[in-house]
Amino acid sequence: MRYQNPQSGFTLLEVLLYSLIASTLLAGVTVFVSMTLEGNARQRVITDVESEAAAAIERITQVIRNAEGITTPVIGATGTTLVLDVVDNALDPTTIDVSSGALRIDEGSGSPEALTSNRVIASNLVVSNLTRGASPGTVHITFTLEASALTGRSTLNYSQTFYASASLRYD
Amino acid sequence: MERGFSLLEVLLAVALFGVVALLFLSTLTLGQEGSLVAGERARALAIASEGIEAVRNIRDASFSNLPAAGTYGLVASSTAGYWTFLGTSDTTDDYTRTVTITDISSTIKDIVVAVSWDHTLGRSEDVTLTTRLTDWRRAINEQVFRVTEYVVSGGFNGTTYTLNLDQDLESDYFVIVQGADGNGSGGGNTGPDESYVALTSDPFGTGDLNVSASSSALGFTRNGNVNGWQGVITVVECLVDCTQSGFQLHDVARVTHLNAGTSGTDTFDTGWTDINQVLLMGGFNGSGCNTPQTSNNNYKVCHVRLYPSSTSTINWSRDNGGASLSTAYSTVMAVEWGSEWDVQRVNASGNNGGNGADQVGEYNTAVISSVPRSETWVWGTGHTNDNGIGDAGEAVLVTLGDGVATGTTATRVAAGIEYNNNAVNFDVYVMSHADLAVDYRFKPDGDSGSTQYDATTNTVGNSSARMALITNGSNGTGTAYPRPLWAARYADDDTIRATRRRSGQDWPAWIQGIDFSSIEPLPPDTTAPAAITDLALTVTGTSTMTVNWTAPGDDGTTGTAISYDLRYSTAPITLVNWGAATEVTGEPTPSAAGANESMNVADLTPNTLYYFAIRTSDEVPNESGLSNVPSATTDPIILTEAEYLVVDTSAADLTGGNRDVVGITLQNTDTSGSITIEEIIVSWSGVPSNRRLFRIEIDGSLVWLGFNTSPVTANITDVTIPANTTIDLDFLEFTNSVNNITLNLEFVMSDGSTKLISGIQP
Repeated sequence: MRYQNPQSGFTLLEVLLYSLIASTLLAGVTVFVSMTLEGNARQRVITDVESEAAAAIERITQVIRNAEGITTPVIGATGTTLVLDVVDNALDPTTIDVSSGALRIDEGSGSPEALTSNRVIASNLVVSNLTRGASPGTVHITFTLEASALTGRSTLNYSQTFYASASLRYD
Repeated sequence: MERGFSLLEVLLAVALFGVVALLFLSTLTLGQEGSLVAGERARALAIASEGIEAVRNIRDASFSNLPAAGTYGLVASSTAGYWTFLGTSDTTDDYTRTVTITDISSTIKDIVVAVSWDHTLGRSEDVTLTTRLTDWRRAINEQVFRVTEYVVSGGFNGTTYTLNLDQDLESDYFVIVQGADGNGSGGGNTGPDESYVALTSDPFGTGDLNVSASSSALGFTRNGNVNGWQGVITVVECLVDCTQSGFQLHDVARVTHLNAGTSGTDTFDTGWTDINQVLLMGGFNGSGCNTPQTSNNNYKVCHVRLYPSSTSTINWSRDNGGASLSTAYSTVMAVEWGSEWDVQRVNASGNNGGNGADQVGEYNTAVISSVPRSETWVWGTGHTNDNGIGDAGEAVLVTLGDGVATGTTATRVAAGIEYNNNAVNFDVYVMSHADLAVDYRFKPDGDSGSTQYDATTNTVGNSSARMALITNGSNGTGTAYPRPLWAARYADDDTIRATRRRSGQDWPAWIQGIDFSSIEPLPPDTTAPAAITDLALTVTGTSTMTVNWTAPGDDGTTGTAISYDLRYSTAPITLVNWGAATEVTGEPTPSAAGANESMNVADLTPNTLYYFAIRTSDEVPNESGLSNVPSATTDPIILTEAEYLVVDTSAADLTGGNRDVVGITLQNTDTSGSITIEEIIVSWSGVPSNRRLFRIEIDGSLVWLGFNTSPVTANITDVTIPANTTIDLDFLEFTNSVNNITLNLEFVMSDGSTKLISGIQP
């Protein structure tokens, strides 16, 4: 005899099947959302490092180009601090260095101004005075910027070494 | 009937969701990818612009450092310490840089810096920067000299004349006056003396000159004005680099040649630094001379020989030639030629002479060090022992060589006379410069009827840096004046035009076409003085130190620098805090390299550690590096014990029936050492007079016991007051009331110092 039930419910198999489908979907959505967030964060980190570096390089090369002379390091030497003799006496000396993870510029007797924010950590500033004799001077700078590890997640680590050079225009 | 999803529907839904999710994800990934590419591109740009900057610096050192057209790599050589080209490319991290140089012209090159990198395997990216570099430091014929020859032929009719220059006058200049007035009613039959012209004012009022009408005016004076003066006034100016390639005008003196005087000296207010480089441009054929002499028999009042001695002395002589000499006034300019010039001065004297001045034997010569003829010009100043011009007196031909030969080098100068065998006494100045171009031309005797003569010379390129000079003889008779006075200037680029005021008399001449246009300023000095390494301090007191060091040079350790900058600070001085260190004023002017320098510094704080450092600048100024940084402590101020003792009598009072003086305190203000009172001399005044001092107690101890009338020298038990301590002078006890007396206390300390406190009225 045929068993009939107009209000037929789910069989256990169906429930299991639907649960499986639903959880698969949910898992997919979750992965998708987390990837979106992760990607967003990573993009933010990359953008931070690159754009802060670009801005810092722009500022530093600008200052070097407008300087009168390079005080430290001396010609042919390499150091971790750049000291410039600039045209405006009030801004003499202009010093560029790294302190507490920030690239800093100190113009004259004022307090240093940070060129990078706390979203990045600057390190390994190396300044080379590559001036040839009888030329106005040229400086080569390398430094490393690393995104501040907010979460400690390795995927959000982003570190780059940047290079910049500028020749003095003052003569 | 309700149906559930078919498997197909479910799969379809999942697939749709998957497609949408994939879209989102790929957008994200692509965006991230974009950031990475942008970052890489930014770094590549930095590396490319570094290449541009490196090439620029290589160019700045010297344009010739740039290699021939081609593709190169760059390397910051750690040994050389600067950028050089190496290979055909260079690699930084994953970025490969090539520098491509293309010649546009001999002084212009295009620089293309390309940086390429592999973003992912097989996907290459690149950025390219282009710049054009020029040899902008190449000197483009910058002129050191500006020479302007002004022809005066009308307008100078009175006794004064203002020459309006084409441009403002430079402060380093000199003037050469050539020409004459055809003085006398006979159309030039009488002497030219009173028509000689002298420079008497310039825009600056240099030395003895007056201040002229404007910054482009020179004022001239003569004493007679029978006829208009005609001639050429040559103005030679130094524009740049006057201490090396040009010349400096130190001072101008108006030298008075007193009536009947035949020799004398005068001095410049501002002397020269090297007498061997000095030209005294003066006299009638130099910067001029004027005299009130009107006699038609004397024509040589202004014929003076000029030569320098010492550091600022002008020596002059003239010859009376058998006739009296009236007063004359020479304008003498102290011109010191730059270091690039070789200047010689010799005296050519003798009585050689002869018609035509075309034989060696007709010249009086003097030996000089060999000079190239084409790079040397000469100027002579002197006199003869006869009546002067017209009598062939001053008509002396001065030239380089023996008077005839015109070889490429010359080892003598010559002063010859046409016709008469009068004695010549000439000082000849010989000026040589490697870039000078001088063309010597001999004009043979003859042309008695002419007033104008054109000599063809080498073509001169720059009409604003050339001058012509003429020295001539003259067939003289007693009525020839002023026919031998010729004036020369360039008529065009290869023609020197000589003119005279009156015609008559044969004349030979030596003509110089002097071209300064190839003389260019030396490249700027880029060598800083060497850093001083032996700065030393000697403490000379509580607020003074003596600083000693050895002078560096202008360039490294050679030459003489211009200024010192000595600074001190209480912190070690580095280049970083150099600006914050205290500047000392009144540093000595640097001596030549190697000299010992010394300076006293005052107004320092006692007992304080000071660091000193010094830097030296040259004339550019290039500033030297920092010296060594010695330190020393000023002497502490040492006070006597009495000076540390403070006696407070403000609370002095009487007790014990007014017999005890109390309330006085003794304080030792020394913060580190104790002081000891050995003796107190007590004196007092007032009625009654027979009272006696009985006891003294200090800080709880009886220190003296006695029975004395004033004054009392109380040799007390020593009282030692520790550092920074106040004790009580408990009481001075008298035998009677001391009401309304005046008390004086003198404290004698263990070091012998004393302190007197008088007028205590308890």
